[in-house]
Amino acid sequence: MFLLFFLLWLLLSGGVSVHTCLWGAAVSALMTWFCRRVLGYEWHILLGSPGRLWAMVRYFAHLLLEMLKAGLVVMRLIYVRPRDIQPKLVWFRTPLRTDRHKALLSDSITLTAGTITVRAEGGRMLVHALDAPLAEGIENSSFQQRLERMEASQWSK
Amino acid sequence: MIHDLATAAGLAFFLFGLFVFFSAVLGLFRFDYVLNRMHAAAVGDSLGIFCVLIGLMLLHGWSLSAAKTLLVFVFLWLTSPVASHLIAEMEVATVPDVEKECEVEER
Amino acid sequence: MEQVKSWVLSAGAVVLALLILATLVRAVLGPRFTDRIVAVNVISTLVIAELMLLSVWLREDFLVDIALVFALLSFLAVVVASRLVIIRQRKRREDQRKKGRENGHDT
Repeated sequence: MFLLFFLLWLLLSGGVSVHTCLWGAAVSALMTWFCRRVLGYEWHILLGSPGRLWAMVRYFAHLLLEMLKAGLVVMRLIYVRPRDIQPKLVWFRTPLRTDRHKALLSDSITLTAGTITVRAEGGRMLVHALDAPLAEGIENSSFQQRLERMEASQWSK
Repeated sequence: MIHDLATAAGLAFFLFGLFVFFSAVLGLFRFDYVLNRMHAAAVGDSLGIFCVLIGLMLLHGWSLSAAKTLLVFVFLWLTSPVASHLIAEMEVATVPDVEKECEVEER
Repeated sequence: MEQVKSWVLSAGAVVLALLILATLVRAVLGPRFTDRIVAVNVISTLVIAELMLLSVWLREDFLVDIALVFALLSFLAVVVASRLVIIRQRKRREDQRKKGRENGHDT
């Protein structure tokens, strides 16, 4: 966390000198203390082991690929038949337990074009899909399988 | 040589991103309901900004502003799902009857 | 190559400006207020792309910082607007429920 703030500071100040490094170290230490104590963030769960970090990186690569594919599909819909689509609202239940994974799942669903998370309360989600085929496998998507696996590895620790 | 290659690849990415933006705006006009229009907007937000910013990073070359471009890009990716989720929630909360526009299904 | 690059970038700037105008037309036409908010969101994405393009074209690094701040502000605007609308909607619904209960007691 400290390293993250320090990198951000260096990026925004735009240069490495003794002056900026000292101020950056001071400010990022202060921000780390603030986030730990006041906001209650804990990053060591997320970045606990190299294996979990690698799983996160793979998850984001998968998200990138899925996003590109979904973008192309929706672009084809825009050009080919914008009038006779069948938009759909689907309520479904996710087996994910922690709030962090639920948030990650709904963010992924929204970021892939064609499906938008409208409401998420408890274990249920309301998803709007642009066309009926896009809503087919929504309650058992590839994101969800991956996240379940990550969550299982977290619980077994 | 490598510089020329990077410039050509950046220009190609940039032109494809412009095409994606064009189709997103076209989708804003061709779809007929807010929730459908939001999908077109999401295409522009994710795919379009991805292609344009990758292209512009290649055009920048290896410099500080390329890193800052990456920062803008990561930031947009973090915020655009939240923004579109909030807009969709607002739409479903305020529209009088959702069932008229699209079917609701329980699973 | 440099000539091609500057030509493509200037053409891209013009195209992006035209797309922003088209999205503005959508925002004016939009039948519901959520249409307008979606259009404003798309406009902010396009403006970020345009700012990055200008920072490459004019070789000005500070425009990237401006794009970063613009992304932050546009996200904040969407969040504030949708929170306000949702809170007001919830309050109105509760008022209606309360009123309905009072009427039920009266009759």
